[in-house]
Amino acid sequence: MNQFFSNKKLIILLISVIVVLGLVAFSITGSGNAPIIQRFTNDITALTSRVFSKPANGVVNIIDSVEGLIDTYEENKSLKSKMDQLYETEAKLASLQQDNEKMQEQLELTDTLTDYNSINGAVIGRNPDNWVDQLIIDRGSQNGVEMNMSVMGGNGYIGRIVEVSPTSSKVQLVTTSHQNTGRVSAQVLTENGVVHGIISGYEAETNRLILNQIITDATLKEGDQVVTSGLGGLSPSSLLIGTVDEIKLDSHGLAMEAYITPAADMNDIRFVTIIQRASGSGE
Amino acid sequence: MLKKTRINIFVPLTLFIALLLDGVIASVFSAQMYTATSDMVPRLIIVCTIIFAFYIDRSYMILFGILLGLLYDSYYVGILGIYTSLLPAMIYLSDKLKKILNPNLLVLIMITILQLSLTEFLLYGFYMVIDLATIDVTTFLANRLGPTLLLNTLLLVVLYYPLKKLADAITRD
Repeated sequence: MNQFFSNKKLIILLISVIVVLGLVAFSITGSGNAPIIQRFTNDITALTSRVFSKPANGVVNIIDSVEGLIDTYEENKSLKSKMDQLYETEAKLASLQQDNEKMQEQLELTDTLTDYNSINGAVIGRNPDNWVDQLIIDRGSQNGVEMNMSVMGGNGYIGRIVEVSPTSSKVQLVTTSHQNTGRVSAQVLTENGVVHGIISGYEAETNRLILNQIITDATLKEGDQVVTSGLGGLSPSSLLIGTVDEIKLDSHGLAMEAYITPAADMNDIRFVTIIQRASGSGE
Repeated sequence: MLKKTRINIFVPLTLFIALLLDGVIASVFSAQMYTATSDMVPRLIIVCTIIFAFYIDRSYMILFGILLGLLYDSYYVGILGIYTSLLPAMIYLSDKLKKILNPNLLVLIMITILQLSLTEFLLYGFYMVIDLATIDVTTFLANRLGPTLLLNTLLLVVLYYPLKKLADAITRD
């Protein structure tokens, strides 16, 4: 016994193992926000990180705009052909919106699931070992960001806020393999109405999201749009997620499963929009 | 004493910048580095730690290792304790190795490859346990470990001489 305790190295090793395991357990089980010291340090780190991310983003932007300039001619041609259609849709949308507002007034609806406010932010860092796909953005609780808000990037839904500090926050991407906490309730817009399902996984090899728990007699087809349904209580409805790529029966044979090509490019996100749901969350 | 502490600021500062650059590189070049078939993870902080561990006093380095490990965990993932234990462990290992090996670029490259593989395996094991890593070992070796080692060996070759100069300047006083 006496000899055992005289071995200083062993004691130090033992204590550090206990401390480390304690820390891991503390941070995994600790729900919600990090302790104030952690938030404070994260904020300072994020602030310093901007010194590097701002010029890096700037350089990438310049390269992008040069590339954009080269493609302009081709792009212009294809855009022109789409213009006529767009005017038509715009006019239709305006009249529909008016109708909708009038009807809402009559029904005395104030906030519907489609209403939201948005906050714009820039990405200042990404978790290098992407076991957990997380981005660090330069907007925090001072700008109105709260836990679990939906985040859009590029053209579609990319994830949700998992940690908020005063001037920075962390976004967990929907591509993170561990989806017990980050499931998204989604709906597929088909010709015969909407079909509900839950985004619950990601297939890295083909870069597709998996939408499951779809009823078997649903009539989806490839190319149908998938949007958030807002029924999960966290996100507003009708945020674009992607388009259906493949439909099949799930492994139990009880429900359908659809593979979705995400609308946002998850690997090229430099600016994000944080979505604040207008109607009260279901918590 | 005063002079020593003032110069030693450069070590944590370099490590801190390496930590930040890891995140910035990962976000700016994510389209090129994280593809379906290969994940290149920039590990500037580990490369810098290994180089410094060969030239600078162990007790200092372990302290910086713990502090920066905590910062890394807190800033990037939010699960404290992973890098907090990995960085000091690597410094300890480097310290043991430096007594039997003569530090030059070739030896450092080999040690970096060894330690990085060890780190990646430990991380993979850890994330496996907490259910965040779903890939199997073969995929891990081919898609992740290989490209990561390649990228970081290149980084080491680029960073070796400037960091060695810095370490020499610090130890000379």
